[in-house]
Amino acid sequence: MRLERYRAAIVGALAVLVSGSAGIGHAYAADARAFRMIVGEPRFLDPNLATDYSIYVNAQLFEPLARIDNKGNLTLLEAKSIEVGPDNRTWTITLDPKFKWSNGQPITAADWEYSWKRILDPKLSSEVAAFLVDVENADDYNKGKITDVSKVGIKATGEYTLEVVTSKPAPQFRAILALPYLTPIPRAVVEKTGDKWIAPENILSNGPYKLVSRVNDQSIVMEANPYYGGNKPAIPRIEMTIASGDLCTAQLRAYEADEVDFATCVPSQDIARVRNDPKLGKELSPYPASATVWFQYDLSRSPWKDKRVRDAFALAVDRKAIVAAVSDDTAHPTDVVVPESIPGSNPADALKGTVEDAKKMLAEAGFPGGKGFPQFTITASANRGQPLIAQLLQQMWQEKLGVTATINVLEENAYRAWVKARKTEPYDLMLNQWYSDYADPSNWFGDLVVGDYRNSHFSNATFNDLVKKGNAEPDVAKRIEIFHAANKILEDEQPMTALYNPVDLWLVKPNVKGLQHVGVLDNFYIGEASFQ
Amino acid sequence: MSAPAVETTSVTPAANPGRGTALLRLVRRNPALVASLALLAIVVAAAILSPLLPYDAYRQDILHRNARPSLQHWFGTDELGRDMTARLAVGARVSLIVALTSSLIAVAIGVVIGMVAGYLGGLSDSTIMRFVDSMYAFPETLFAILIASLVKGQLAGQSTGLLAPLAEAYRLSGGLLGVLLTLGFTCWLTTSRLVRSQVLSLKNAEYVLASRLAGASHTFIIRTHLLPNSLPVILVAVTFVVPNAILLEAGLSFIGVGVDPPTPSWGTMIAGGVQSIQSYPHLLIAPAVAIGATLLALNVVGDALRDLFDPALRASRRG
Amino acid sequence: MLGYVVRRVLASLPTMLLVYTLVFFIAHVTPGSPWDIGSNRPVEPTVKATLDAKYHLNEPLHTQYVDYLLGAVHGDLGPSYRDRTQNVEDIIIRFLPVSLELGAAAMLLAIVLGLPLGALAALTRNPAVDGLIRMVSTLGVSMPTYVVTSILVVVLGVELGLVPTFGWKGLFSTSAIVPVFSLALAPLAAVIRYFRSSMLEVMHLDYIRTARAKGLKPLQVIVRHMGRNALIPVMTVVGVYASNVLTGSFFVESIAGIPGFGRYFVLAVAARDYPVIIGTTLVYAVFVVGINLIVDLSYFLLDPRVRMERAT
Repeated sequence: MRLERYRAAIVGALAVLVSGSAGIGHAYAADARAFRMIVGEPRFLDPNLATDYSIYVNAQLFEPLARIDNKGNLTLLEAKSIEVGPDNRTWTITLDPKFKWSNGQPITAADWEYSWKRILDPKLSSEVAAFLVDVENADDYNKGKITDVSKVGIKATGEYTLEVVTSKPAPQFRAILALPYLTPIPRAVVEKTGDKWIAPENILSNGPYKLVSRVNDQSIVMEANPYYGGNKPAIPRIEMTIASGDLCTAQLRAYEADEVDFATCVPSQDIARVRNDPKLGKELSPYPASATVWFQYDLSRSPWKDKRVRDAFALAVDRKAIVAAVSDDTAHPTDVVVPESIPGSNPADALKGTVEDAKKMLAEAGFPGGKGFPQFTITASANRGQPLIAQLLQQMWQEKLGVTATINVLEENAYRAWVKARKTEPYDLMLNQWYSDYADPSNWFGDLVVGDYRNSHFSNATFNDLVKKGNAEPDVAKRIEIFHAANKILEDEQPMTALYNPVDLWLVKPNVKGLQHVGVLDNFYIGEASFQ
Repeated sequence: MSAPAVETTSVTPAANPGRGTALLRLVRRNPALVASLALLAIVVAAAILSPLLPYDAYRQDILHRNARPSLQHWFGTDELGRDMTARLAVGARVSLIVALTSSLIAVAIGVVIGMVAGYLGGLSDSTIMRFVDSMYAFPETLFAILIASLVKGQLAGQSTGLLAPLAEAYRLSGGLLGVLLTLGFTCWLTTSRLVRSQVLSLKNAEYVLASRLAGASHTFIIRTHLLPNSLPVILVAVTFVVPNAILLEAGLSFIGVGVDPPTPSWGTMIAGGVQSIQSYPHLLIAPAVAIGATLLALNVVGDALRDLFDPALRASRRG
Repeated sequence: MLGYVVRRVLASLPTMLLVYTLVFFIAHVTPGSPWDIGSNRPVEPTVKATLDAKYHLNEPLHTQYVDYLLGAVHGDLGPSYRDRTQNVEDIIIRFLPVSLELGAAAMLLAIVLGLPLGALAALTRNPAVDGLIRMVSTLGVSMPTYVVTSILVVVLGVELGLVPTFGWKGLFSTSAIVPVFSLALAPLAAVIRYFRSSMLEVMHLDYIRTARAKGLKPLQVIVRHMGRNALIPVMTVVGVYASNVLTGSFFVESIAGIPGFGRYFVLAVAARDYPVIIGTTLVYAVFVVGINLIVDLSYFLLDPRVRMERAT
């Protein structure tokens, strides 16, 4: 019979099918003890250049001097001690020699000095340079005003001692020294291989992991650094897959299919389902971000010049509705721009009033019932739920104030370009946000408002003076008082109306222990986690 | 995706009476065609009658957002609590307007270019067709994305300068203008090729030559002889362009360069629905079925139209 | 024949130049600079100025146009602005093969499924079968690709766990199932439709009736006589879809997490990575021109009449 001839083949085929289908299914990891996650392609693996979400990847590889935890306490890492001299300007950092590069070579103060001076090198065009402006002559060197790099106040005074001098007494500099951006780099490797020093075959790292392989836009693999001077990581291997497009959706789907151990965000429309899911709900880990989402006005134009208009608009906003729609109530509505966790903030400064007050103010400004109010545009990015917020605001103002808005949604890069162009170009309203770079009032009051990074064209002499005074004030309590006063002015003037403080939502598999939200940037350190 | 200009047909009726009888026969033989026409009629009716629906397509109701279909809301509510039925109906209107207008623009451009190239012939023809070839070498979706980003970037929020009136029009149209221009500039290729080959074959027909000898101007010939006889081809082109425009609009919305909110269009609804696929599948199913059914119907009608006009096409190709 | 090929290649050069010109100006005129993405704070003007100078973006447009063209002719397509450690050639070499694999598999699937189904639809005496095949195939192109891909990823990946929800493990792994199927839908519909039409046309021609009258078995008739001639319009269709499918679909690759060429292009557009945008567009153009040439050459094989025309 024909079948006899083919029996062997049939049995063979079945065997292949059965063994093959055993491989189909969940748990795709090559190594069961590897930590799997999905990340966006890091713009820079070079810690001297990374200021965006790349830092979350780099934080596994490179370690700074110290770290500031959620309570504001400084924990030393690569440094044995950080002291400031009586002039409040000279910082002496003693490095801990037990920390070595991932090839076993010692990390000397020369590496640190080289790295930080490289950050300031105008040819590198690094965005990290902005964090070292307090250092003596750093800004001048970075802007090209002086060319002698030895004038910059960073010097290796010994094999393991580093001295940093600030141009003015700056007590907040201790926090700057703990920023994750300020790590050392291996001088010898960088000098030899230049831009290619971050390739897996060249790179050396001082953190708990070292880079084993990197395929751009595809994957990043790390393994434990055998020469790491701190606590050896319990997880030996990290496998990161790169996603483009919707990162949160890709992560959630992979998480639900058991293909990753960790997800750093949940897509807005899935938040409710995840929270109510008996299994996923327990694995959800929220963390209030030190950030605020707001809308702001172009204060150089009418009708936004008129404070009554701004107040009316602010009072007509229903923040609860926005938070419900955008984050299923996980975010926190807020009336003040500077988050509570930043010293100097004060929720009591918020604008007070009802919708009736709003209507009255609009009438006082010359637009009773919204009559005669020009049609205006709300500009938003296509990401982060901003189109939803814009639509909510549009309807709120239409109903309560009788004013008409149109919405303009731009894709992310076009949106950023548009925001930058607003320095000289007019606009009406825009949605924007700010995430703290570090937990200090100077980041919000100084960088954001005085520096007008978001181009609201707000300028108040008293406010600027207060911020300047506050930045130079060494006494902690007095400093907070000064910033409190500044906050009052900020909220009174309402150049931006705060909406909510976003909350980061993580999903962590139950067998992963020790993965914490750390600090203002919501870092995670896989080297401190373990599988159970 | 630019469909190729290859015309093939199903069997045409043996007898050869006038067009009307052929049409009737086609309908009787083809129930799918009848169903498709009925569906399209429903879609158009929904688009026109949308103001009569109980709920407003723009009315937000956060407390009842993402609601499943119920007696109150036949297709449920979306992420801001707006009635999906109303949004589907208004979306039908927007999508139809976008599809038809952009097709009009695309066909107009294609007709002009095809007509000019075919009629002038020689070097002008070669140059123009070279340009058309290079446009063919440009992948369509990617060209659309480039143009959309460009249009949005230049027109959105611009209140000064040369582009100001266009920017104003953009704002008044709620972002539709951007999508219209994008689709119009992307989809004209097939039309131009079809029209050109038609014109090439018609150009040397006897009645055209006679007209020329009698002293008719070029415009007269184009207007009276070439255009009307190109109508079948133009209609065939339209049957390719319209479904393509609808799909392309959905693609642009997914990238984020589609119609501005809060205007509902099937493209934006589908792009939004994909984000809720696991949590609120009804947000995807409703517009997906709407688009799918409409496109299916358009394709069936397009096939039928192409069958109908095929004798005309084949005759012209032989000539 | 060689002369024909050479002539065609030469004739395509002005086309490529036009494509280059078009994409160059559209990309550069779109607002937004390559240095805008990513950071929380606006890019310092000095940083922007340095980067612009380093990559010659501060020079007048026509100078940049010529410079890049000269470079491209010598095979240097420039560095990527988005990832400053890579060149455009590196990117093409890394990502194009993935899309090629996927695309080739998808086209193969479309042809292998489409030809028999199209033939069935044409030859069946049952109009219901014909209608069903045509309807199901049209459904595939009545839905935006990203919808189909998303549904497949969720159903097959998340709910059933049959395929990975994300990532690429090679063409012969389960991670290829969803993208290949999604990519194949459009060409499948086209192959079915056009093969069916041309089979119907050919079916009633005289020489077929002669072959049947001679007593040839139906399958032989179909394959040897009808198939060859009916294939010609199908080749055209395949050619049109091939250049799109082989270079990758942004939607499919982005949703299924395939590190392919199509995804890369849109990322480059979003990041205003001009060299990558221009380089990848030129690669696309080369594909279209090349595939058109192959399709035309295939007419030689399939249709002796064409051969004779060419000879005259």
